[in-house]
Amino acid sequence: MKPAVRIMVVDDEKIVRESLSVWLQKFGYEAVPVEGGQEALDLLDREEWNILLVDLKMPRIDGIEVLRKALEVKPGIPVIIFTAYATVETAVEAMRVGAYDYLIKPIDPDMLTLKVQKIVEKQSLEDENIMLREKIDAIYQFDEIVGNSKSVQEVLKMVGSVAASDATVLITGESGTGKELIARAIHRNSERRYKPFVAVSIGALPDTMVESELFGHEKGSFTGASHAHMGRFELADGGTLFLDEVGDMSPKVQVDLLRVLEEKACYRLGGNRKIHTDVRVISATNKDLKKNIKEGTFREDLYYRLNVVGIHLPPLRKRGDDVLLLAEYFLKKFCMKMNRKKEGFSPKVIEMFSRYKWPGNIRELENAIERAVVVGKGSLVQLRDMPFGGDQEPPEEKAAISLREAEKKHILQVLDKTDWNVTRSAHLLEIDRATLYNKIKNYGLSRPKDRR
Amino acid sequence: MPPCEPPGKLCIVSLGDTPDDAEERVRSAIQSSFELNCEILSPEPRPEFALDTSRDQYNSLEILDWLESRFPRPDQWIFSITNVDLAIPVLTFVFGEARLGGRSAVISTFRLHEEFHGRPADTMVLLSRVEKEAIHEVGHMLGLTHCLDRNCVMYPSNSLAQTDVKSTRFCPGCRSNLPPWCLAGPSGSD
Repeated sequence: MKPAVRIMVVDDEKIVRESLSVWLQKFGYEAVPVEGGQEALDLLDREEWNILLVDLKMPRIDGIEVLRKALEVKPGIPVIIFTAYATVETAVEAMRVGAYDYLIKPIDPDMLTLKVQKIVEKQSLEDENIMLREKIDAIYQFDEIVGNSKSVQEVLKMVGSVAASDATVLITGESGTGKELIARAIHRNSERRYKPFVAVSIGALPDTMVESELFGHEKGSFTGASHAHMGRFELADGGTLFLDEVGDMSPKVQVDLLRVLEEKACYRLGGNRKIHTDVRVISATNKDLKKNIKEGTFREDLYYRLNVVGIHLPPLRKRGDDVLLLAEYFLKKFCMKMNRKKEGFSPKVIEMFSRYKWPGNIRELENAIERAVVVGKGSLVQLRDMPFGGDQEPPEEKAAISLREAEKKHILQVLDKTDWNVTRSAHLLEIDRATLYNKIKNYGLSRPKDRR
Repeated sequence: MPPCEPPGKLCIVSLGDTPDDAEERVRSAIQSSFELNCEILSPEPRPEFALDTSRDQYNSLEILDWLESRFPRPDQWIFSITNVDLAIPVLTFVFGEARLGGRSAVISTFRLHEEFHGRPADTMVLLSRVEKEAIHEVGHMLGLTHCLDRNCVMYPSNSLAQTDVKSTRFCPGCRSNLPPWCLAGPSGSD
């Protein structure tokens, strides 16, 4: 149950303070009649109060003096001054000192009800706001960015120094290196942290939808636009907009984005109202944008707009011992999530960590550890628990081989399986025998016994 | 803080002239909402002792004090009806007043009349407002505070519009806060 709202009713006339207190108590408030200014200030010092209702004319310490001292002790506390002897001078004085309101006795009960309710509602929203902010800070106090390598420490230093500014940041790095995590870290350490962080992956959207996603659209602006729709720029107002895969933007979207960044305003599709946006843009790509500029697929002016500060995330294979650190971090995370107990990794697994090239980077490592926690038995993660299975060698740069290389490997695999029966192999490969002979010759393939 | 013990009786008394049928309507409204044994007493005089001559209004709290001394038996609750204009010193008026968790209450018909607001008299409307104010004040006597539900009879009325919008029923929250012994019917009267 919420604590009761506490209201102090200060008036030297007993009947006034008591009748008003009784009236307020019927709203469920804890209204306390207080006899004079000094008593009010003493109580204010000792106890928590939500609202003060204070009579203007009192002997010794009058209402204005109570108001002034109350605001010194509890800045921002709402004080309503009431009086039967209203003059313009006292009203101006009360408001100047900082009264919440100035009411003339007798007060219309509806007006007093509304004023008190308004203060109570505002305070409860403020309390909720403080609670939510504390929650946000508590959630994010655990730093998710793990790593001792020099390159990661440099990235973290960069995040710290760039967060305070509103400069655009371009994060580059291979897929799975944690670009969004870094963008979020910049947001969380910035003044914008209580405002939205909106992420949009441009590469994942069909070209026709990118503009509507980014800038929004008005009802009827295109077939199927049955409602007006806020764009991501509008949604991120006051906060941070994270644009992922900017290297995949069409020339048209690049022009539009450049205009928004320059004007700090945008128009919804089909709309003619200028929408001002206060947004910090962080973008990311796994492409080499400089190469794209040379090839004419990325605008140079946009590149410089997005890349006021550049942060490059190293691939996992170049992060040395960070692999083990990250693996331990993920192991702890998934054990906690799935309520499992694992002490660590077998020596073979640790040796594999440094040998393997991790083409999918941290994302691949994270998935591998998650799988190991799910399928693994015993207190140590074994090589057989890893996605590569058994004691096999991890696939060497599986994702990075050429089509030619893949074809060669596949043909060899089929030939080995048929014990080098060319007719059966050609049938399986759905090519004719002459083509297969040509490929064997071209790739320089030979039978296993000849290979030895 | 509802009173622990049910009263022996809830006595309804007019202070001075009151509209015809008002006492009877108050009795039937209270009895259809609560398990309370009601009795109509013979009228008492207008509460001149409570008149504040400077504003020509009657102090509702002084009336409650007077009721409690005039009818001192602790097991006797007093519900009074008057046609004088009620107020407390700080506020311009009150429709009624009750001791929160206490044994005395007063309601005024003065501002419940259509004529007060420059409209033709309407006895049906007047008596329907009297019923709502009566159930509301008895709710306070039983320890209930105001409710934010506009339809609940415990919604605070500072204007007739608010009185006319609310019903004679308690919302489920207020109903559950009433002492179990006083509950009548599944959801109060309609």
